[in-house]
Amino acid sequence: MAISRQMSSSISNFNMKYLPFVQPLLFLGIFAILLTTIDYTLKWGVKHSTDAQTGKINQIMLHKVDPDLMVFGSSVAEVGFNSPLLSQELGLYSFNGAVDGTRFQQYKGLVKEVNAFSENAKYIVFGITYFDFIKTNQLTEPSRFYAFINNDNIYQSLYEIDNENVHKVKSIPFYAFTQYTHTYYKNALLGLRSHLTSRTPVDSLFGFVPHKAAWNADTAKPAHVQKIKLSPELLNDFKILKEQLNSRERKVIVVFMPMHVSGQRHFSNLKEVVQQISTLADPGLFFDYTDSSICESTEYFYNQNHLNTRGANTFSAHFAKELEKRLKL
Amino acid sequence: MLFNSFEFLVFFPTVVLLYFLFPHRFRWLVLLIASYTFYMFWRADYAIILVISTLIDYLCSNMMDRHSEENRAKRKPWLWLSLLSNLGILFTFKYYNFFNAAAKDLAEVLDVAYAAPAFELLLPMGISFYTFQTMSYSIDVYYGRIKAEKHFGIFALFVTFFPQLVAGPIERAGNLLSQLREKHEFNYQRVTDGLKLMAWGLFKKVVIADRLAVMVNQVYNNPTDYEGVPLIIATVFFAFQIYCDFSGYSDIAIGAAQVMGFRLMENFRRPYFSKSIREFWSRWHISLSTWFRDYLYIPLGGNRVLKWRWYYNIFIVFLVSGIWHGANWTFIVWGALHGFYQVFGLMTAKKRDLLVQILRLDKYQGLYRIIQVATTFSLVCLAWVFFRANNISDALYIIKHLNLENPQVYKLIRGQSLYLGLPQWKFLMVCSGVFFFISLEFLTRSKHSPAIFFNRFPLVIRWTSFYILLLSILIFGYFETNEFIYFQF
Repeated sequence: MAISRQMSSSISNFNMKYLPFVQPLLFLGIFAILLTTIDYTLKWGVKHSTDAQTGKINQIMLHKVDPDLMVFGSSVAEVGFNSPLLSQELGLYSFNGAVDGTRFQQYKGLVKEVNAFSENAKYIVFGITYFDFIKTNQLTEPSRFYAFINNDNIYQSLYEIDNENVHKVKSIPFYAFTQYTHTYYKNALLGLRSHLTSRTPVDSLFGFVPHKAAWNADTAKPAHVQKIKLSPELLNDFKILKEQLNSRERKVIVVFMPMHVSGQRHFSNLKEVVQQISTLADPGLFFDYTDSSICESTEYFYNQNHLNTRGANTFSAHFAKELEKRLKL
Repeated sequence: MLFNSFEFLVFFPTVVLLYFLFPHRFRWLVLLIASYTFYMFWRADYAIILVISTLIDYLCSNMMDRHSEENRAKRKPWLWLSLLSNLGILFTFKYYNFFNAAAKDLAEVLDVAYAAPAFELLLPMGISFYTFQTMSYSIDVYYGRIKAEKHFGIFALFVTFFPQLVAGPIERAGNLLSQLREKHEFNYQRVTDGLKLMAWGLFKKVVIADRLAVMVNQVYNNPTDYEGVPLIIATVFFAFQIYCDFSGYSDIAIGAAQVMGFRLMENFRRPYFSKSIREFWSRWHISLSTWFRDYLYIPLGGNRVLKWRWYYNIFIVFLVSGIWHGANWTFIVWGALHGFYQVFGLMTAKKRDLLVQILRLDKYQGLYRIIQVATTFSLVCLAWVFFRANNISDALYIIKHLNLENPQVYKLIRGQSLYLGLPQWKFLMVCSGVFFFISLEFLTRSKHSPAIFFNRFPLVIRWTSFYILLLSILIFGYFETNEFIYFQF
């Protein structure tokens, strides 16, 4: 009895003395382990997701695709380049690595990664539109890239846009949780599910995302005219990147994507911009589609900048033929 | 600095650590430096207004204290100096442009020349809160309720104490000043309870209020794009947004102070369960409503006057409360509407009691209570329309179109998307969040706060529930830097 009383008294003394330290540390320790486990599981799931943009980024970042011809750009290039059709017409394995919502600032990390690992890529195609070289400080869905934040190419490209948040995501434990969006969680679940069920959907379109919608807008409506301001800094970044691509014997092809004439009317200096961008490509490898007959018909678009499936097929077939001629394949 | 920012996550533990590490005699200095740092994170140059306000009130209160309580005539000039300085600062930064524009409009109508300039001044964060706090201090010293604080540092800390500096609770000197002198030992239970309250406040802010804000802003910034049900939903959502936003701030403030050993006054007591507008005001923004009661309503005569004068006093208090919230007609109408509710409630009290007896509602207490709570909530929501609308014409449009007679109802029944700036699944998620919140508030209605409700459970349940709370904040929280609504006041 006495021993038991003595023991319970010493436990109580111990509790009184160390409780303020032991309990919080234990609480925080368990929480840290819990968060680490969740974060690791989420990251793992995201990396195994094959869904949409995240799936495409995963394929590139995990070096699962190594095509002969790789397309980069924003959603304009993503819905415009029919990669299976390009593969068929050119006899080159083509992959559309364009990512919806991004500009050159954000997708250049992917280009650098491809340049670093690819053994096959001979042609890097940039599907450019008017906003690709306009500087922004707003990341688009950065959580699609966060599974690879420790990759220098990805980190640098994101950091240049939003240094404060991106730095915190990388350096501060668990800060990334405050930045994850539902897309991130969805992809994590999809990735985990496809792994657990061993069902990995095949990307039969090689990154191409066709859009079947029609466009019934009033194209005669007067446009609010504005001037495009390209960032000299970004143009210079592109030139440096081009040199890096060239040094690994990859040709840089720049395509100014088709834009419906009603969309072109919004910009007072489009011709000048196209002229500036034409200097970015390797000699003879710039393609300007702003004068193409595609731009005159709404049947090829689902809005002023984006081609629908029919437009993408027509454009891709035409581009493949032109490219074949110029490359003398 | 925002409570929901990463900076605060670093700032607060550092301050707490320093506070408990320093000897008692230097702790006021630690807190004073911390408070100014906290404020200067927003705008460093505006700290000068705090300094001016502090200096004037310190001087005035000590000058008042030199004369005995009976010799009020000699105290009076100093009281006026203090009140006029505080109100002058408040008027210059908050109301000048509003009254200037109103005077200009009036001059135009009367065809009189008017040429006072407009100033582009940024409203200092929390100005209405700290000026009211210092004003109450000066008034209390004048009436001899408290002694003037001789220690300038302690007084400066009373004005700027960071947990409640920018959005209250508006503390009374009688409560806070004495605590600033007390020695607070580290107390494990108190610290953990404070942290729980802070986590609960953060949950309300980032998980509920900021999520609701997306939909409320979508509708209230483009009201003419909507009619009927979406307007009703947005208004009800705003009621919960502002409650979770402001009470969330208060919880964090009270919790932060509690961690360091200070007891700040309760600011909200489950106001949406009120059975009358009168009860609502005894549960909503308690620190402000009691301030108005003590420093405006009672000096006006309170209820110890003729009936019409009593009604007038009530109406004036609510009108001033509306003006306190902001220099905009929408706030004035909001205040006036609440004043009208109160006066109308008093005028019809006997008739309503009679109606209850005729309908025999008093026999069914549960049902009667539900009807009372629902009616009060509806009236409060109607007033929130003016509070949130960008201008009076938007508010009138919304009120005119708050109906169920339109195709939106059928859309809702058929489960189609009511575009409120969020996809349907997010909308449903937010609704679940609100439902969870109300349920928890209801279940814990007899407790001080849901945050300490779990204290009586075994450790495993307690910890699990807090892990869930923290994970919910991280996973469902909206972390775009959204300021607290009451910062603008």
